[in-house]
Amino acid sequence: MSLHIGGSWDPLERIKELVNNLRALSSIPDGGTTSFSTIDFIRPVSILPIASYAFDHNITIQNANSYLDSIEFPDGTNTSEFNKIGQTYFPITKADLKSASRDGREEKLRFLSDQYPKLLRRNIDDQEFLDRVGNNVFYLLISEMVDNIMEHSEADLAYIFSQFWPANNSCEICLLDNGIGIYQSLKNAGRSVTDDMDALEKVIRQHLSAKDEFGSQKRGTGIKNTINLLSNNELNGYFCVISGNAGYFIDNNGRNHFINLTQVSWNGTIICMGFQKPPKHVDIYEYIR
Amino acid sequence: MSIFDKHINLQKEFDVSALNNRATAKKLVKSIQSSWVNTVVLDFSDIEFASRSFLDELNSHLPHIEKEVKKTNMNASVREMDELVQQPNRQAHSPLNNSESYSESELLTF
Repeated sequence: MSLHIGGSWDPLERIKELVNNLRALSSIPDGGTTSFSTIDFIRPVSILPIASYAFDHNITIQNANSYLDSIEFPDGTNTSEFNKIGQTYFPITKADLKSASRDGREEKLRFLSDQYPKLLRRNIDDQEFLDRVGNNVFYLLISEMVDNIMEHSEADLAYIFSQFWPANNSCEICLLDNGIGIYQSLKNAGRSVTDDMDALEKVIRQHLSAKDEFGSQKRGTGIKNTINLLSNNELNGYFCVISGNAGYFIDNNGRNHFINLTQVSWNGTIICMGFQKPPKHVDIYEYIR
Repeated sequence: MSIFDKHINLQKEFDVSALNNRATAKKLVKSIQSSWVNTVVLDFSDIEFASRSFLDELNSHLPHIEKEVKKTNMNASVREMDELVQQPNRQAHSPLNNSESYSESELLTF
């Protein structure tokens, strides 16, 4: 089965397309080969999980185009090579956590969440967009999600890829890891969860978290605050999370869906966040609790 | 500052301009706890941003540390986040402020 990346701007349509592509990839044996039948318009959530899956399973994908070469698909560039990234060159970025000690893992992910927002801002050539969004939106979106990878994922690899489209003043950030996923993380922490969907529903609806503090459970705030910040009429954005065979999507148009993935499962967690140029400067503190 | 104070410049200590995660706060708490001084000064000079996770983790441990811990040189943004995480019942703008709203979500199958 070949892969298809169409031209839809609708993030929910692209999530559906991604699930179809992951299903196609999962039918290919490790070390196998596939190709793109269509590449209309590449966006982070369309391509990053494919890159990660192909890398993890040593799958060769033919018919890649020059844009995919420029973003170093599928291998990506390592966080240690951040200094090579220029203003017209913003590749898939990978934090290899495989052989790192606990301190080494934390160091790599700390570096990612400190440096990546600066790199992303440097690659956005629209001062009005940057002024209105400010530093804090980038820091908040990236740091909360990287912190979840650091605290809960037990991942060997973490990836991030972002794009800014000047034509419609919008930005999309996709992060993912190949760790244990939300369900297993909560289960390991002794929480009462039955499967991927149950775990995700409890994270979204009840703010269930794997965190403990002084012997009692803590409620999670990272995803909640991220949703608050994105799904409003300032950033006009969207948020999506996929873990195992469950997903959740919300946007500022009132679409709010849990998603059941059939015949495919992501080992780890995928996060996609998108937003547009706000009408005025965004105060992130209005959206945090 | 007396010789019984310890001054930690957080930007230099962690080589970052954003304090972004719980692990960094845990490391800092360990460093404070293992210090023999009575007073520790946390210097936020050149820190552009501190995440809710970082400050929540730090602030939750401070009452359990038998030392005086002072925070200095926070910029307006960091100070706002610090004050915010110490307000447990704060309401924020949210498209879905209660769990009932989520029950209206339609289940999709892809």
